[in-house]
Amino acid sequence: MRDSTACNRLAAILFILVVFAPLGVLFADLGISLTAGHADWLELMIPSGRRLLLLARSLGLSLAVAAGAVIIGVPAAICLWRLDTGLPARLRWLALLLVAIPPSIHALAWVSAVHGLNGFLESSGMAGIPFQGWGASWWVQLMASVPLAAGLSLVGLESVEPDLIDSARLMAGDFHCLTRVVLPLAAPQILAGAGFVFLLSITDYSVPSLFQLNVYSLEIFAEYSATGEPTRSFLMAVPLLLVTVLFLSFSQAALRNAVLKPRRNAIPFPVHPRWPAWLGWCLRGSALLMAVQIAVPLVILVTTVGSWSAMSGSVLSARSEILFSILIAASAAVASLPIAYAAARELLRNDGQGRLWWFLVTAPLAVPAPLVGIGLISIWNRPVLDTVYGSCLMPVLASLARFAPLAALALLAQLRSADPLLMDAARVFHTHTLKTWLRIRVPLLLPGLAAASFMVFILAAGELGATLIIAPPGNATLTMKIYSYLHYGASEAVAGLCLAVTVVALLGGLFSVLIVGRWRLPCAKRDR
Amino acid sequence: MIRVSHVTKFYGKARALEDVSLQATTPEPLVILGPSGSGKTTLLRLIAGLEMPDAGEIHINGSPASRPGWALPPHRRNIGFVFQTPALWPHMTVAGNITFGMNGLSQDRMRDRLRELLDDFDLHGLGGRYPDELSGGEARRVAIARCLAPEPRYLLMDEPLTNLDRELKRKALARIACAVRDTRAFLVYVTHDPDEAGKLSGRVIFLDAGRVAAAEPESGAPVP
Repeated sequence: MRDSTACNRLAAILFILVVFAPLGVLFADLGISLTAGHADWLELMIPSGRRLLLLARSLGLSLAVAAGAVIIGVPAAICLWRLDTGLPARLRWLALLLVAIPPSIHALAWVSAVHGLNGFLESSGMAGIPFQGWGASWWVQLMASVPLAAGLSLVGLESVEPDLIDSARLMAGDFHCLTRVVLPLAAPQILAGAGFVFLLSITDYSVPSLFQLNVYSLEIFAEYSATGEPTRSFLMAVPLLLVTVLFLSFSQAALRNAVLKPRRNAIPFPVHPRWPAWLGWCLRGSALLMAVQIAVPLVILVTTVGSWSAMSGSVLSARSEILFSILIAASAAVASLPIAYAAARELLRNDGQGRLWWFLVTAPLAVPAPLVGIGLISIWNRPVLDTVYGSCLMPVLASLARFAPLAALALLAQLRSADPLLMDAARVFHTHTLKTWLRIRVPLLLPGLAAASFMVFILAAGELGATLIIAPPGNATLTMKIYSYLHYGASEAVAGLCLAVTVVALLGGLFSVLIVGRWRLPCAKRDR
Repeated sequence: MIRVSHVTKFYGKARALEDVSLQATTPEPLVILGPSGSGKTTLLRLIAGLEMPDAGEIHINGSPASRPGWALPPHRRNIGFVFQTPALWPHMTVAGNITFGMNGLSQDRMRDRLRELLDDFDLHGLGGRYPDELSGGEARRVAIARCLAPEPRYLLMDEPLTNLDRELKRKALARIACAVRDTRAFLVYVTHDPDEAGKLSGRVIFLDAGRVAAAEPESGAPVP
């Protein structure tokens, strides 16, 4: 038992090192620069003039994306939540897995869709729709992030105990029950979803840059490219960091004590609820937008690619990038599990250390991706460590720093849902550590392990913000290749790659959902 | 009155109830006894309108309440329900939980009714607490007080005293009996404990494997 606790502590320390080292080094570099007489650089921390405008624009864009994602995502989640048991109920988790489609693919699809629409409008003598700048960035980021908001809202709705809904239905109308009981109980997860969408939007520069919109996170990247000074980039990122940390602490605070239980085998509202007609229309509208969200990329990509041979040709031409992406993503997925599990165990604590761990796990989500890349360069770009610096370990480390905290949260949800008595029983009948792990703990944790590793794999495969800075010379990930292609406009080749990424992401997601769904079948059933 | 006629209910392929008929026309408590999995909870949920029957009909107060494909909404049935778990809304205080169903009452009347219920169930001073700050016994009493708060005509209780010690159970049963007597509500009480059934001195129906295995006749009326 003591050995197991020591191992967990060791892995938890490793988690802190992997996740915080890039930021820690940037802090250390800051101290060195200040003592070296660069105190005037501190002015970079206070945005003024153009940079203040950029910060305000980034904030406005991200708030609008988060608000839109919640407005569409919550009603869409209610539609999905009400699906009956069986295959449709299991497949609804695909909504969350649509997050796996990188925003750049949405950008390509929507550019092509609007281009086609404009051609039709112009041939009919009407003016085309301008699809550039703020509006286009907002729409594409919104479409890319709706599944995340809907998915986390669905987690929230699923965690509401059916008895709580039933007892409310006996005393008040169904709409009253929804607004006074169901939505307030699901609020932590809904708020967390909005927070994540905001963070992803404000730290992303890939979509705005494709639509010629300058945002604050792009400025950090540009500063580093221009000066090569990590400290200057770090100081410039401070206002953004403050905003993201503030938003994170506000949006994730309620999540700490929220129940993240998986679905029990009970249907919410077994007797059809009577909601006002306008709510019915809202639910149908949001479900339609969710369908558009996935249909537009698929239809556009399939029609642009044209044929199977064109797709296989573009996949073959990018085989080295595909293999490199798989290598990076699979390494990050596997390496993240032990350290994320250790962090998730620490998160279960109810004392002050538990609160500290909650901060340690959620705070890294606020760090802009370019800063992680710049921090990693500061650590490894030294004479004795340059073998690591020039290797494919760098993107793996970047993905671990960015996504291991998310894996920890996924595992926390699984740990909370596992019956503690089962773990206690495993301890009582403990014969051999390895046997206990293989026969008790791993099967109990399997859905969480599958979800966490799939999440890290997909996010690492699509990571761009940090990878673009630190990818070893001569190597590029598939996302990097797509991103560079996109700057020259859509083509059959890039559409073929995007379609391959989408299909792989969806098939992987389907596989994970089926594993998780099958594993949950033995869940407790209501007494009949 | 409650009349259940030839009701059958399936969950997927599993049959929970088969051709169950019963009625409660007099205000004497109706106690449904039966082992786990016998369909007791399903029967109560069907009466409450939380599930829809696959066959048969349920009438409440002489009007149709449920039939296959149609069910009167639960909140229009004038029913109070105590679940096996207290099922208190964790984001509301004890007072919020109890007053949730008191629709159409003035603020003064609501306050008086709340005070009355808190006193009746030894919950004085707990109105501002949240469910996670209550003991198991307190939470059970809040659940019963919440059920009684809107003064429903019909009370459905699904093993409401499970896991309470003998003394608490005795006190709670006395309070339930007293409340039923005062409000003249129809009580349908589900339990698997024959002692508990005996203490309520009501008419007993025994349910087994989804069927009525035995039933005491209603005073003055034959069991259908």
